Amino acid sequence: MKKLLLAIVLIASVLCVKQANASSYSVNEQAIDQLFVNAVETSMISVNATDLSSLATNVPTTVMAAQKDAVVAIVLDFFLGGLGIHRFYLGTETMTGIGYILTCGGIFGIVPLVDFVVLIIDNKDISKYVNNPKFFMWN
Amino acid sequence: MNQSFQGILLFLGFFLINVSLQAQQGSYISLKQQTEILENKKKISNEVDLFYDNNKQIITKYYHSAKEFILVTNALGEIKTYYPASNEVDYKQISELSSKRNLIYYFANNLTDDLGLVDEGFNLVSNTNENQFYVTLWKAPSFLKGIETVKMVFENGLPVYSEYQASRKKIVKKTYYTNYKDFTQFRLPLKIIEISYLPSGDSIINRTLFSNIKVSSSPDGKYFNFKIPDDAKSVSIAKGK
Repeated sequence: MKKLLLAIVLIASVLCVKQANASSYSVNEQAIDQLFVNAVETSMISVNATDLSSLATNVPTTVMAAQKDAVVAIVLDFFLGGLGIHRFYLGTETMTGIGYILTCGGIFGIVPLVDFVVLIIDNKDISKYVNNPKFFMWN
Repeated sequence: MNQSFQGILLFLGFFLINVSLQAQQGSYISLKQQTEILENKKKISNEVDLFYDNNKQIITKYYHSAKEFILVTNALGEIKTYYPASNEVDYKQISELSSKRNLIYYFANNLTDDLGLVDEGFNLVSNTNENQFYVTLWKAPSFLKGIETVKMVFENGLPVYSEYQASRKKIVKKTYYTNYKDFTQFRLPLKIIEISYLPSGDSIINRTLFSNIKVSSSPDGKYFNFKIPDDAKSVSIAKGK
């Protein structure tokens, strides 16, 4: 009986998650309309022609995240690498930090040491380490 | 004689079908595009008449809501901006603003499977079904910093939602495509809502509305084949200084 109840709860949870995902694919247009209605109109006189032309293109203009500084990451790695602070600076998953704690500072400091080396080697382009969810960011 | 007559009839039939299909192809699209951007309780609005020549892949936009000017963009990203009041023209080359990066190009040519993601270097990594939705996940090219994946969601074969993700949990942009209208050869969303999430925690909402859409086989709009006057003064160098 307990197993049956557990199975029902599990199925219900899966269905709820699926439903939640599906509902997130549509927008509340009324809420958006209200935001525009309440907003203050601003003049476009200072906006130039090229700015205007880019308003409705397919260019992901707003998706570029702020650039990360390799030097900052290296310094953080040097002093606080055992806690994985440099990884959070670069952007990563919470699990990476937990992994650092569970493995006594990234397998006794080996992981931050390798991170330190690869950050120095690749200091001109550290993009592959930015928002990297892997525990071994160089892998 | 009878066979020749049948041949002529067959030829005429094919000819008429071909002409009819060409007419339906919708090589020339004109529409009114209204864009509103909302940030921090302030909004800017802009209205433009857009003329798209699908044969030459040229987009001509006539801006009249703020300053009057005409902007012509081709597939190579060559941009000519003409200011009628001062008879000046500005030349630029910005590949990101190519006519082939405009949503009109993708919808008019039924390239809605990826809406240009493949052209930008994205690779399809998975596809799943969620209720009535078909969901595809695209991996970003390594040179695109700050983006890991893009999720695209389709309903009845049409894109209804896309999501740019910096990581699995961090969404940087959501786009909703709604109010689809059927044309003979393609379907176009009359409303596109884009929400961009800034690192500061704020967001920018960009709402685009298309109206007064005309699709034809001949260029019957004023700004199709728009020619910049020969005597227009170039201001590109002056502005570049």
